[in-house]
Amino acid sequence: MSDHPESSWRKGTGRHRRAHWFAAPAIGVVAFALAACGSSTSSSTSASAPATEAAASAPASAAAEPTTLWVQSGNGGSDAVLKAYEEINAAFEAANPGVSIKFEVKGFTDLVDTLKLQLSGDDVPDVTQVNQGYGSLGQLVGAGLLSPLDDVATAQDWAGRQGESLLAVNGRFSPDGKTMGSGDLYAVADRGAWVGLFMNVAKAAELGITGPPTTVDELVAQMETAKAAGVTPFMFGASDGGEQIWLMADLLMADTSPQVLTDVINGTSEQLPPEMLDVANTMQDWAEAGYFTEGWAALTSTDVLGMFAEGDGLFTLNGSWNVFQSDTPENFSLVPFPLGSASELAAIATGDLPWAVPSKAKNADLAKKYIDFITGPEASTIWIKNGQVPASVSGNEAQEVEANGLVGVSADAILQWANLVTNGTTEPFPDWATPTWYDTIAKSSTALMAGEITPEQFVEALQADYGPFTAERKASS
Amino acid sequence: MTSLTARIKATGGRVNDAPSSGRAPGEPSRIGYLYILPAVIIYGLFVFAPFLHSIYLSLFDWDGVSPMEFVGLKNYGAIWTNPIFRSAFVHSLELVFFYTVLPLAIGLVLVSAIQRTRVRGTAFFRTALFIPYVIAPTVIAVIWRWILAPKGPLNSALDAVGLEAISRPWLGDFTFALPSVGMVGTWVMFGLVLALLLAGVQKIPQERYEAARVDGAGRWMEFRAVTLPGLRYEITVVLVLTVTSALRNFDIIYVMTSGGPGYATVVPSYLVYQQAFKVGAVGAAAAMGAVLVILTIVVNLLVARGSRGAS
Repeated sequence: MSDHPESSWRKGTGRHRRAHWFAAPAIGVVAFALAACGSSTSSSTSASAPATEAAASAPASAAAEPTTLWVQSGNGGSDAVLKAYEEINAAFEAANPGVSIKFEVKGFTDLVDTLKLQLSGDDVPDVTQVNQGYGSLGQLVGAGLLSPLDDVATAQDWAGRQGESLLAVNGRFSPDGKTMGSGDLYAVADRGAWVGLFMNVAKAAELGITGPPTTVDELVAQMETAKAAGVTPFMFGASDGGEQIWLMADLLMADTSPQVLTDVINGTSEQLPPEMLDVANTMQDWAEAGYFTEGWAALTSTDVLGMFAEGDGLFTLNGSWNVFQSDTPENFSLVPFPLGSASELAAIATGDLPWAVPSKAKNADLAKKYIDFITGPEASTIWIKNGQVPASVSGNEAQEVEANGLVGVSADAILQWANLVTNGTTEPFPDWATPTWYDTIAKSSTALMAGEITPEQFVEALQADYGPFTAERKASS
Repeated sequence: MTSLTARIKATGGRVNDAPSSGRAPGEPSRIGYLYILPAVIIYGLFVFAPFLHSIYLSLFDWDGVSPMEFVGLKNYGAIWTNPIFRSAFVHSLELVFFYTVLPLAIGLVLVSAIQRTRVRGTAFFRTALFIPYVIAPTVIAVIWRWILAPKGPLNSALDAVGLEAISRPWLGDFTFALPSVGMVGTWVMFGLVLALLLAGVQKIPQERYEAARVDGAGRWMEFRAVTLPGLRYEITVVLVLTVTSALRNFDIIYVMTSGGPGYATVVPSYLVYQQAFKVGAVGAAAAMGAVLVILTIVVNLLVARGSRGAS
């Protein structure tokens, strides 16, 4: 998900980076002191099978001596998320006497850009969030910087909580880091993140539109209605790149099937499907038809979401992590992007940055226990209370959403997630396919939609990036 | 200077040209190297050694964690063959126009005008014009992103006076994005240029202007014969500072456009960051950084040689 918190660095990079530089040595000292005090007894057992027992019996041993668990998050800038972590961390500390959590927060870009360097050093956090995909998680796994989590996943039935396909999408990799979606489990997400169509239902009602579009054809018809009435049909911002990547993936699914998108992302073939050209044509047509926000190429997806939240436009495409507060929440809804037929249900839906345990973590067993806790049922309740989407589906979402008074997009984000995980297909982010694809798609599609290049040139640009990487990856794995 | 002479005398009359030292007359004492040693060590450790290391890295295919693979000059070849990499260097040369040529041209025109008329409150204007250069580039970028936004103040102002035909999403326009970013550079550099030129022009003796006028020189001749030669050193400094800023520009591009729309504002520094930290192509990034440094050095050497030639 190299896209979503791109907005947050703008507010916080400098602050976080500075905090990090000063904090890291201090934490290193703490970690070193603890290691010297003899907490190494627990980390030496982290080999394989015994780890499960060690994790299960950790409270007893941990209670004996004070332990500091160094947790590193990349959710800087998301205040609601951080507030929930405070509550969850307090609950974890209460359940594990003697354990205190050192929760270090970085901005997304800050975390992702420095993680490789950090984890290849000796002072590493016990638990850290990582970014999915070949470019991030794949490289870390390939370099042997992360420990597999399969023992605790099996013992605590994580597949039962989140579904095997979601686990695979977020954290499974072959040990060489060359094959995504299968192999050992290296990371797991605590919150769901999915991309959907935000709709201004109040405005839709004024336009005589009664419900969300169930097919792409219906979506086009509704956009035409909006355009005729002088309402911007689709709030679109391309300068950060995310929105056009999601649109491309959704249109590809609608034009073919979710499986085709899965195959593209997993690199099943070195050749992009021929339908990519149809998708490119549609994207260019929509831009030329004037469906998008005026000046879309200079706006970010966050800019237009802000404008949408203030009442501009009929639709926008964005992530469940960006649900906004509104004085009139009942005016907005969030639904999966429509596909070819009304019966299909699929969306880009993965975890928020998943959690992993570095190979050099000093408290590996406790770290696994922590991850198990934040993805477990007790944490789920806290997530929903704070308006977040828990990755694990309990079946009690509807009651908890109601009990916490969530309405509009905040409620939809949680309820539609549960529906997607249970009844639909969850798709990874398309840009995970190659380390450079995010940039290639983002920049080439802007050129495509601005009419600077043809649909054929667009597909060529994507293929030129996708083909060689996929071929090389397959050859070396 | 006097204190140095005094110290030499105090050490027993050992002066530089003392024949007993075995050095040719005028050759500086070797002790001088000791004085610059701390600076050399720090410079070497934190500038020169990393630079050599990145040249070393540029010869490898490396993602930052996996084993390195020696590829020779392949990464340098890619800068030439990859159209995006190549365009980045072209963009930075275009930025030189906005960072250097334009501010210098405006600065010279204004300075020669000010030279003829006394302006009240020169100190105030000098400070006000210098402020953009002092503000952090990121802050400048955020401010200008807002000004140039599709519904930002610039477009609103244009619309208000009936110039809708001109208003556009400046940073999202494939033709105007680079000039827009460039104009921000002009805005930043202009104050620095004017401050330097004003200081320089004040030091030119008034007699020269009087002499030129007596000889019947017009405005243009006076500028060419007196002002321009008198500002030679200031112009050299301006060229070095602004050309370097133009070539290494990262923060303004990163915050304002991230290289977009498409690849319209991609510059080498942005690619260095993107290749090293986003793509994980450390070797390619190092090669690009090395080329950028060499380009900057070459351009500055040309500037220095040009200014010496002019004298």
